[in-house]
Amino acid sequence: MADAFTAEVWEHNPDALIAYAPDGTVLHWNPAAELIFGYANAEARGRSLYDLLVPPGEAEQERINQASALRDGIAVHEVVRRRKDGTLVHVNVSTRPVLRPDGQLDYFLASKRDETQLKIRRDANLLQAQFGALLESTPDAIVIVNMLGRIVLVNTQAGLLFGYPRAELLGLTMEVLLPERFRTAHLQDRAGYFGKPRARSMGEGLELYGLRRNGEEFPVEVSLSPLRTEGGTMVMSAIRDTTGRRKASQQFRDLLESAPDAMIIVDKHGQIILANHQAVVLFGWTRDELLGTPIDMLVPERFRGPHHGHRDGFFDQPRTRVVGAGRELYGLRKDGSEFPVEISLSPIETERGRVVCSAIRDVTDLRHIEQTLREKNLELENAAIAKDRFFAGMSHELRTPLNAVIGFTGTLLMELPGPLNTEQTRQLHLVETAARHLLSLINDLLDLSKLDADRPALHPETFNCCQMLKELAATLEPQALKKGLTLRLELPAQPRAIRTDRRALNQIVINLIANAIKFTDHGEVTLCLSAIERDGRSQLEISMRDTGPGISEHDQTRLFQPFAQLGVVGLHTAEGTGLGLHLSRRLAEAMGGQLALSSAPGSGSTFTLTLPTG
Amino acid sequence: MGARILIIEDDPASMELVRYLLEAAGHTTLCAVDGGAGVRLALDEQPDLILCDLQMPVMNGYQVAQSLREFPAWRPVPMIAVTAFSMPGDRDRALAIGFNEHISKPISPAQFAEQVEALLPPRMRSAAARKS
Repeated sequence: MADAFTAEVWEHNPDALIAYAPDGTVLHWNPAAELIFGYANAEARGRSLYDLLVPPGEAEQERINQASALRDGIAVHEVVRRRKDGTLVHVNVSTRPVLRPDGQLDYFLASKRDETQLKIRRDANLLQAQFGALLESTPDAIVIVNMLGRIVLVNTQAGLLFGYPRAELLGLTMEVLLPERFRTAHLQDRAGYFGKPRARSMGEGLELYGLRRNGEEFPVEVSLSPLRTEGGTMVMSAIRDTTGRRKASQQFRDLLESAPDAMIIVDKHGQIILANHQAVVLFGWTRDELLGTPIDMLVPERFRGPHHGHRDGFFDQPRTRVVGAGRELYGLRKDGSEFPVEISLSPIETERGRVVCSAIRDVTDLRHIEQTLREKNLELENAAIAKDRFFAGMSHELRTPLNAVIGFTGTLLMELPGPLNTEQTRQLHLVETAARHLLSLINDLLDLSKLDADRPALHPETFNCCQMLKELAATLEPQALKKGLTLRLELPAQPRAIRTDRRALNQIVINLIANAIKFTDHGEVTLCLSAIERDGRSQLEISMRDTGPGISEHDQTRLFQPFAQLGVVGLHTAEGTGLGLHLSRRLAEAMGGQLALSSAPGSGSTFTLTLPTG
Repeated sequence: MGARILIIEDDPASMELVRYLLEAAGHTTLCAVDGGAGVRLALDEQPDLILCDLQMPVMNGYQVAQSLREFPAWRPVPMIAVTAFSMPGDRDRALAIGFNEHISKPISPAQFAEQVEALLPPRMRSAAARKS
């Protein structure tokens, strides 16, 4: 290497020329070696070839190659070498031992040609021929890398998934398909994988991402399998885009987090595998403390035994259900305190088998409200009872003095103590009328109080309505005759059965007949009964028609109000309590019927009571 | 001839009214102002009919009826509840416990004697009642 030409050849040799000592120490390193392997001459010299270029596991082969060169004078091999940046290159190496004059080995001279691209093309062709058609038919994206970590086969799905024309990917390292931040680690993993290749999946439970050509990242799950070929061991990656699944899973998590209840998912062994924020708040344990812990931790000790049984039962026959409603169920906080809960359970089928999602609600407030409500109800019931007692008592207390008033007015009018003069008789009649009016008021008010309690004590019985109307008309006919009125009855020939409260119906009809007689001075009052159909139900219509003065539209609107007696011209002696029509309408409604009025001044009035027959 | 009628009533005005009406109809009256006294008087005096208020001190009307009906000898004696209780069901309750009739207050003075006599044998009724 003394002359200039020799130096020039050394300098410009297109292949890497490396001279190294028998122990591997680099002695010379030409510019092509710098180019191929990335180390500068100064950097490489003095260091061991094994450290610089030989990947782990290849050292032994290298020694064998050197031995064969020594034996045969020259040796040619294809080897994998590592560049300074860690990537692998496929190298065709010719090694020749250089001997000292005494015949001893001085150093080795190796000429190394980078055949990486050639190797890639060879592998690509090989794989395409062997597996190309097969891999097109799988739904997954398939990328195969050779020992150099270079992509040698890409199926259409992979091209589409990563957004590359397939040809563009060939020869690139697998790392181009990964986001920058994963590349270094991946390179190391890949080297490790070639050390002991086996089929396995990556990405499950890991955040693993792919990188599209346009820079977009997407979550992936990858299955790796080694592929032994004539071109050496290669690795096939089946890549699945899990965006959809992750989105669903994320939505599921978001849903759990946004649920108002504490949500805890347990597996069939009762271990907590998921807990939302509300569960953390409710039970006072951190999420990390909850995860992987038996659900028993959240159940008071005295319930744990039965809980196991319930849980096993649920896993055997899972269906969504609420537990704890109507039963006292308690949760246990980290601080040892207990609180009442209501729990809904739903089975969820997952890849990990059946799990159970429990929605847990703290019902402390609810229980409190229920308790308050119960107390309030009791109070109201007591108040209602007290009110009933009050009215019954009031009625009793008012009737007792009235008994004396009406009674002795009666004895006087019967002239039992002695004869009365005309004026005394007249005045006593006024007392009697007033006293009877007072009695009616008491009776009506009592009825009204029962209706106001909204629990009208109706006692339905079945009877012949015609018969009842006849009897009532007969009772009131004398009053009509006294005023010179005719009380007419228009009843069907056949009996008409009705099932209703007899007393209430009596009260309404008496009120209607009495009113008609009271407010009619000439002509007749007519009581009609007819059967009708309304809304597909058979009903009875009882109407009371009079030839009285009639009622103006304005007065009709307030006629059914309590104490709404109208100042009807010419009728200064309006008897009655002023509650009769109000009460009648309320009663009619309580009986499921209605009471209506049709009238016009000058043409009489007709009150119509409609009742269901049963 | 009239009947001997026991009136058990704590309200003096009501007592006087009933007495007055019955005596006017020709009957003899015995008076007790509470249930206990009424039962004692009934046992001592053997009246032909008993009128009894329901709400009274010491022993109410229901208890009076119950006590007297326990004695077989007293079963046929007519008992009438005269009461200011007028709620639905009061009448049924009175009849169920052993009263033969229920008259609510205020009574009708013109009909009262007649209502009472309806439970007496005809020979004990007043002339007016016998006529009708």
